[in-house]
Amino acid sequence: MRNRRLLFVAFILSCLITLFSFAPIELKKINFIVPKGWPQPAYSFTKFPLTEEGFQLGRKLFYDPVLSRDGSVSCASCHNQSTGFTHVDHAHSHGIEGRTGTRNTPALMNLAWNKLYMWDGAVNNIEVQALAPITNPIEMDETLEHVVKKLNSSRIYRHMFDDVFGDSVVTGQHLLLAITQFVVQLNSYNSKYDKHIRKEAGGKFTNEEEHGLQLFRQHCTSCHTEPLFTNNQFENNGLPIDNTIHDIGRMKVTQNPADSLKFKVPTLRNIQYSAPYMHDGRFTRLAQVVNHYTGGIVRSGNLSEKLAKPLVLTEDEKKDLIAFLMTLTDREFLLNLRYSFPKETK
Amino acid sequence: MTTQLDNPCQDLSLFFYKSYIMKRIYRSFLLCLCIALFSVTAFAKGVLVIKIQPVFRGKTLILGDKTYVSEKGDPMTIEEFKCYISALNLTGSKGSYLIKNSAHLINAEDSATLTYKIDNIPSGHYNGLKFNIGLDSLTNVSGALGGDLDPTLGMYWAWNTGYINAKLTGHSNVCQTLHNKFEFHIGGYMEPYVTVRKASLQLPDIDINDKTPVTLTLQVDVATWFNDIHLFSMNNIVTPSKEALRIADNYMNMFQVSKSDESGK
Repeated sequence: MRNRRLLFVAFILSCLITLFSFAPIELKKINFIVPKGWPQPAYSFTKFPLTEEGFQLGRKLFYDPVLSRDGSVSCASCHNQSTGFTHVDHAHSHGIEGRTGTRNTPALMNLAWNKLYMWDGAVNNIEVQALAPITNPIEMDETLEHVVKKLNSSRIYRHMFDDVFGDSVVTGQHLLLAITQFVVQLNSYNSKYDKHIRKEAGGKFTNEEEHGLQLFRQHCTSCHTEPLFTNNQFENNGLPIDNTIHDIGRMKVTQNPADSLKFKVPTLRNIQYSAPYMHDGRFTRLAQVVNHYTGGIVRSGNLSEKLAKPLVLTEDEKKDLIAFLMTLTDREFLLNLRYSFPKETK
Repeated sequence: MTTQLDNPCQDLSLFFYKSYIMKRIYRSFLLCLCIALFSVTAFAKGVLVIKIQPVFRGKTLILGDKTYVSEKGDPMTIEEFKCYISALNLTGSKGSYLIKNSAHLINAEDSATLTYKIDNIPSGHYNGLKFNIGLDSLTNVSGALGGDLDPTLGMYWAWNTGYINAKLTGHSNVCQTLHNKFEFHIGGYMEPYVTVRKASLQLPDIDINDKTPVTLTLQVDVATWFNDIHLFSMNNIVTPSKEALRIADNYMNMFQVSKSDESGK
């Protein structure tokens, strides 16, 4: 008799516990922060609002080599956090089986403010950007269909996708949206420069840095516009044509000869660590970059009009300019554990 | 691969799994509610079923082995035919009715895609059907989309983002290409290479009502693609280009509509 009663109580109790654990999960909303004085982002968050669960799923995917055909390469293989999510020491990154690309891995940050992606603007929306490296034969050499199939065979992934999207069947759309949730949150706005602008502690410029900022605003800012340090345009910056790769840049996408040799103006944030520089990674030092603009420009037909007037800087001025560029380093971003390999998946 | 992926958090996965079942129950409850609501409001709505029938000069298209001859005399076999239709618009006595989110991918190989059922059409008489062959520019810049627009369906360009509006591939011994293959991936949404085309078809008078679904047959004739085209010189179009525009202009008239159960020869 007592046993039966005990059983009954246990039954009721377990029912209650199960009911409780079945309660639907509320996704944790994330508010996208637009730093003070910055423009509104170009990307709209209304289609699929940011959530903590979405971010974590995207983060897991970003670091998972399952996206590549042979499981050897993840997004992070070429986009290394400590260098501003680019590939340090590699002018051209290598994909699976050591296949080498033709362009320098772009640094990833503040992507929601971009309109077009890749050096030639071939990608028109951040949500579909990941398709390019996944399917490129010299990068991950995979198909989206097959990645989706692999993810659907993983119970963990199916449950994570169900949690985020309310659908336990992984689709191409949901995969891309999840990666987007992660990459649009890789935002850098806490460099010494930012603190200087916001007049915060740690933002006091040295004389060299201050002078460098003035030089920068005088000569560089029409393309590398503050606060994002890019105008999001495509420009021919007068690099001599590389005869081995013959990269025509933006013209490949628009087929318009006026776009020949134009490449996207990259952000300069975290430039101290994102070497090498230029679309083909031809320069390894910032001094080489500055010297290009003061004495290396090839004046071809569609050279950016912003470079029409030759730039003359003394050696001291060059040093000050570089000193200023170093203030764009954001260690809080480069070392933020929230963006790093997801070890603590609890 | 699976075990490697599953390892990090077993206990968590159980938790997710439970909530997953709960969601299913919750969802089926919602579904029942929706069905109940629908049956109340459905009195003024009807159903249109469009049967899509890929043909080559009027005869049912057979993929693979069957040899067809183009208008210019090029022999060929057809490997693959896919095409988007979108922004369907019915016109009739009471004006026009735009069917929302009506992008539909036709895939000759997948019979499920050859029946397109549209619910909730306001009842009335209709005598015209307009739609886009392909997708408009807004769809092309809207990022990752789902359903028939999911980028896993082989109709999305990764190297230069945007949809392929229509795709036709096959073999012809006049093509001096690898395996004599010809490939037409017709897409492009930016000037000057905009490849979306409009179709405007006269319908036999149809009466949409809540009693019986109306079935239309939409014939799509891929022979039109090759009008005035020599496969010897034009056999590989895989980017937005002048050649793509020419093919798009060709297939602009590939659709024909009839009331059902009279074609299918």
